[in-house]
Amino acid sequence: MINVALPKGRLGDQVYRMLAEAGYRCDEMLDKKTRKLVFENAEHTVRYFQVKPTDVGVYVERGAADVGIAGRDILLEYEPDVYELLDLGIGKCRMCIAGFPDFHDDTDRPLRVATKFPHIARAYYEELGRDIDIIKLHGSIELAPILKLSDVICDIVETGSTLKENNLVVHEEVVPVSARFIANKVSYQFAHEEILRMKNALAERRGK
Amino acid sequence: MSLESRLNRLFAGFGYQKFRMSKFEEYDLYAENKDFLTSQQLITFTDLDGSLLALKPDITLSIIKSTSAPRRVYYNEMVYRPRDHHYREIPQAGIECIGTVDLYREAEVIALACKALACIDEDYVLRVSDVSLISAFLEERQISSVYRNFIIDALAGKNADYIRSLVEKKLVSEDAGAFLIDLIDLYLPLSEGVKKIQKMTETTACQPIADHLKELAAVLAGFDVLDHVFLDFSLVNSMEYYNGVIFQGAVRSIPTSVLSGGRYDRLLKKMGKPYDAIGFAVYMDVVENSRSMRRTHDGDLAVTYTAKDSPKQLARIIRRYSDAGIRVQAVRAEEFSEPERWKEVMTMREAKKEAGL
Repeated sequence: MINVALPKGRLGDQVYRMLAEAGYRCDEMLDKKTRKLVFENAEHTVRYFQVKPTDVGVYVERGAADVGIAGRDILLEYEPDVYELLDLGIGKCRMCIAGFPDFHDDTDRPLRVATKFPHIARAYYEELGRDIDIIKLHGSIELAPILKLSDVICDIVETGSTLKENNLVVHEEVVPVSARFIANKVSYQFAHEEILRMKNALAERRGK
Repeated sequence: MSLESRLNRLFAGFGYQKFRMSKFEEYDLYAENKDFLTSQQLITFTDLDGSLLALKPDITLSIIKSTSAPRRVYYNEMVYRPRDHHYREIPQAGIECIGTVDLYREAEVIALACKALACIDEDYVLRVSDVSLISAFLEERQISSVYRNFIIDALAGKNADYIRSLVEKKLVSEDAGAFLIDLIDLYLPLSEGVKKIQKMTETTACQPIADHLKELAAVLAGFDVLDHVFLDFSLVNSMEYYNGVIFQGAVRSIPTSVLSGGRYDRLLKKMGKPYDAIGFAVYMDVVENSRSMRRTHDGDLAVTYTAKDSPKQLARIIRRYSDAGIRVQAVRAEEFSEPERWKEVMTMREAKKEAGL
């Protein structure tokens, strides 16, 4: 039995379809009305948990799940001590610094950065040697520059349409992001073959 | 028997001496060797004579400081380190072998690590690596120091895709990339792993390191622990501290590592001691915290009594059960709740009858 932590939402559904194709089916998962959080298939080879995307790393690091699917953004932000076995090539987007088109960095004072990812933002600007003031938010990040809460935002950009609608543009790319197949380091030792089988099955089906 | 006493017996059985120490250490020891500490944050305080002291964040430094001749010691102590933004008292057990560390001694310490893991859970795995192999490889291929730390992170995370991206960008040559990916994928029982790594490193500067691992495997077979030992080069953390063979242990029942150790000759050189050293620590707190919470019962028998009952008679009843090896407690009837915590509950009268008094 292998325990898989899937992020709730579109990415989790997409990965589940890849796994189902590879023989890790669990039809109950497709029932959109169910409020269950744990799904086990009939052959008892796999058990899925649906968790908040930001929590996948925690579940895997602490061994509640043997493996999981997490965005590179989550791994960089929370740095869980896990193996990052595979880039699935899906859920692709970019971590970017965005602001108004006429934004000009005034180095005379710290740059105010609104973000859901304070760790990534701090590391990025530290490397540039730029002093910043982090404003940690949990959503609607685009609102921050509009209300002059911040100068720029550090956030995930997928299509750029949300930025555009709010009259914001990308100024710098911090890091490209995609979904990763991660594993608990101790599970990797004790369930080595099962984890490798799943990894190889996903590798064959990964998006390019 | 508690884990602590089982470990003590194991280490003493191999001639290791118990090392006892004070909780305090001169602050200077840590200021001079801060590279070897996992955190720079210490609990410090001023002694009555004005000197600065710290609560020990580490055991090894204190043992080396007090070492003036080869010695083999074990310890069971508390260390004080920050964790989750607070200082914590963390129990640690382990051994240090200081002197000439030859092939036999190295293997003996690794075998003891295996036996220590078996004290926690018979189903264990000890992963072994040699950090000098990776350094020698990066050195030989003259890989830019800009990428070294990223490559080491990729090894630690078994992130082969990152190495592929470096090859694609032509930052690492194709054959160096292929070697690193093979290294990432390598996870084999040591006996098979050494054959593979010997083949991989033929005619390179890493070859003597692979040969050494093969010899080590042969000696470990003599200790009858080889079946549990795996070769895994993702074990690269704390390359600052260690310089040769390193190892980390895990058991099936606990989802994080519970033991880690290795060769740390550099630290002795830095502290002016003419010896080699190898040792390991068992994370007693991790083992303790993952113990199952559900104890079936608090005791075998609860005997309830009231203010009207005779204390003298109660004493005789309780003594009778306790002498028979039954875990028994007398509880005031009006305070008694949660009967499910006891295997059996009796009133004093029932207990007296049952005991034949």
